[in-house]
Amino acid sequence: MAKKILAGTATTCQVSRSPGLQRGMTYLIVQLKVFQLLFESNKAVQIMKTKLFLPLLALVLALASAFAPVPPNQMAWYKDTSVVPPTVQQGTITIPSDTDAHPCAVGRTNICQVGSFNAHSTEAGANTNNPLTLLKYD
Amino acid sequence: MTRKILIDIAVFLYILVFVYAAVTKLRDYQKFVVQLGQSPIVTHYAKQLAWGVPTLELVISALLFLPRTRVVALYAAFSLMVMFTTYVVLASRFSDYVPCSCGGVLESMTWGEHLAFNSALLVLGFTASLIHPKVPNTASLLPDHYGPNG
Repeated sequence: MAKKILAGTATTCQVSRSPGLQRGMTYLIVQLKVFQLLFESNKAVQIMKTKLFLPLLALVLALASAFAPVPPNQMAWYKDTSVVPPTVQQGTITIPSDTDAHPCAVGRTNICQVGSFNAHSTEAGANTNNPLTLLKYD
Repeated sequence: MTRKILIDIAVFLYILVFVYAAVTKLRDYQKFVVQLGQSPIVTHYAKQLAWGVPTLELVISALLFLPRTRVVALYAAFSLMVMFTTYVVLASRFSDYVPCSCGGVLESMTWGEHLAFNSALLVLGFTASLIHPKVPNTASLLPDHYGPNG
């Protein structure tokens, strides 16, 4: 009796194990494929990271520098005598340079310049080269 | 290996300079237009150039990003730098005062410093264009077995 039961169980087990094993193997193969794809995509991502790291760093540095707060420039009027007819224009004071404040004002010592032209506080003053509107620094 | 390092340095510097210059120009667009208008060489095209130059710089930078378009972008970057350097030479020789429409801290350079800076970038760009592999390596981003036939 016991032998019959054992034999029956064994048969049942053999019968039921065969499709289960197949399913398990299929599942295992699918998992292996997924892992393989994941590994390959990671490899691709790593290659991309390596190739794009320096350009990305350059981009970040450039944007950070471009959006960094800049020291305020002082504007002034000047008469551009290099063109015919001479015209009055507005430009950034270049002398004195390397200063982050507004160093030029009327009634100081040294004449401020925009390029090679004297800087004036008003358009009319620049046009007539009025010494009273000359911008100067200490 | 040295070749790769040189190309990487050229790409890095060109992206850094072009993106920085383009963004600072576009941030202060009105000032850039005025500065271009003050230049005796490009006065008549000030408005077109005020958009065109930064756009070109950004497009070249974007092309430098991608390994597939890098070699074309290096040629373009070198050509643009040749134009900038020509402008610097002309502006410094034929006019008393022309504001440098360079954008950001590049404006604080003198014409001589600017010429040296541009020349260094020119040499680097030219060398990188020459030594860069001529056929774009389209499969370089894919794993090794992903060849043209899959």
